[in-house]
Amino acid sequence: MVAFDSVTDQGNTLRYTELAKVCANLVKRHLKLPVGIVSDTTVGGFDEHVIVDKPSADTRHVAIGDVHESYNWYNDYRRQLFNLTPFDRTLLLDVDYFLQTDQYLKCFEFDAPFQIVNRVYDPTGRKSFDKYLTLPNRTIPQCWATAMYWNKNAAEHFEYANMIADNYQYYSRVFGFSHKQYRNDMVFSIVSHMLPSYNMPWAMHMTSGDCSLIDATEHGLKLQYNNNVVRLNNDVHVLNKNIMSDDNIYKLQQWSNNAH
Amino acid sequence: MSDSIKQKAKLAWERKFSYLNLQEKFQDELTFAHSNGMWRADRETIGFLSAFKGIDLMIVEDIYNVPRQINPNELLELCKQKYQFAANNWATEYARLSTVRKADNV
Repeated sequence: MVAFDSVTDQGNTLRYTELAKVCANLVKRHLKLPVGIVSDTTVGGFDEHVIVDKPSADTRHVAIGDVHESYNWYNDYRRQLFNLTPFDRTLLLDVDYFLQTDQYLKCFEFDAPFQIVNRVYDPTGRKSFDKYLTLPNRTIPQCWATAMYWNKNAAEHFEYANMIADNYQYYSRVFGFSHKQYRNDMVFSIVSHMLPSYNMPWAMHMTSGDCSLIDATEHGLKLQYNNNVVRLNNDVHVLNKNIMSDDNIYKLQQWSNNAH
Repeated sequence: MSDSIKQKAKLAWERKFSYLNLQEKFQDELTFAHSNGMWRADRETIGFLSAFKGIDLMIVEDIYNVPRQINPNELLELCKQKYQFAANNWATEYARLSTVRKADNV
């Protein structure tokens, strides 16, 4: 995992490292694998630590409750992980991707050099992410760097990712995305298209920013959107940033601790 | 009164999506890695492999459309196990969900 805490312009701390602990608990429970973290500070609960300086950041806007805030988004470290990972085979997960199954073990069993998610499923039934099927100019499929697997034979993939990142503005023009904010999804979509890669044979369940966490039990995460609720007991990527509020972090910590 | 009916309708609609989410999870659980390939233990694959009982080695395309050399008997056994396991999980969770009557109890 990669996690750097950030403070918003309203003074709220987005505690990505706390969320990483939750995610690590879930990985240990469901995948029974050692977990490492790349951060600028030591974070408890991990088997391996890679301490680095904070990378350059882009400004990102986020709705926390009813307030729109901006913060430094330290997003550009993933492409350097091939050299930083202490593992021969690595599964990288976003810290807000909560595993509740062991399905990512299949990546290790299959062991193709580079594997990435390319399908997203909206469990609220609103098909919120269907518009991201391809990169903006509808040329190549969009992949999601939320979950990536690689082994020692994926050096070329990361060299190419670095080359794209170094020429981000050029590639943004070719594929029609904004160059103002660096996005791993864009970089690794291009990598996945240009070099031999495999897409994970399942859709990543993802909930949009308006789905807020209301409960977490052994039956899964309960989310509320509009006047509806949904209980999810599959692996789920939660985009709502309110999950980093004190209440929700506590709720998720209790939930993931009990997962052991 | 109309709000109450509307709310009930919404809850019913949510149940339908919960069932769909379960079905999606079931489909995910059917995939597995074997003999350097990735496979789906669906009814079609099980039916196809059943036609090759007694043959030791054959070439079959996996879900990435890559031809792989496999032992059809071995793969069939694995497919049957995966299907049973996933279907049992599906049925258990479906039964639990079907007892839920209120959004509070989801």
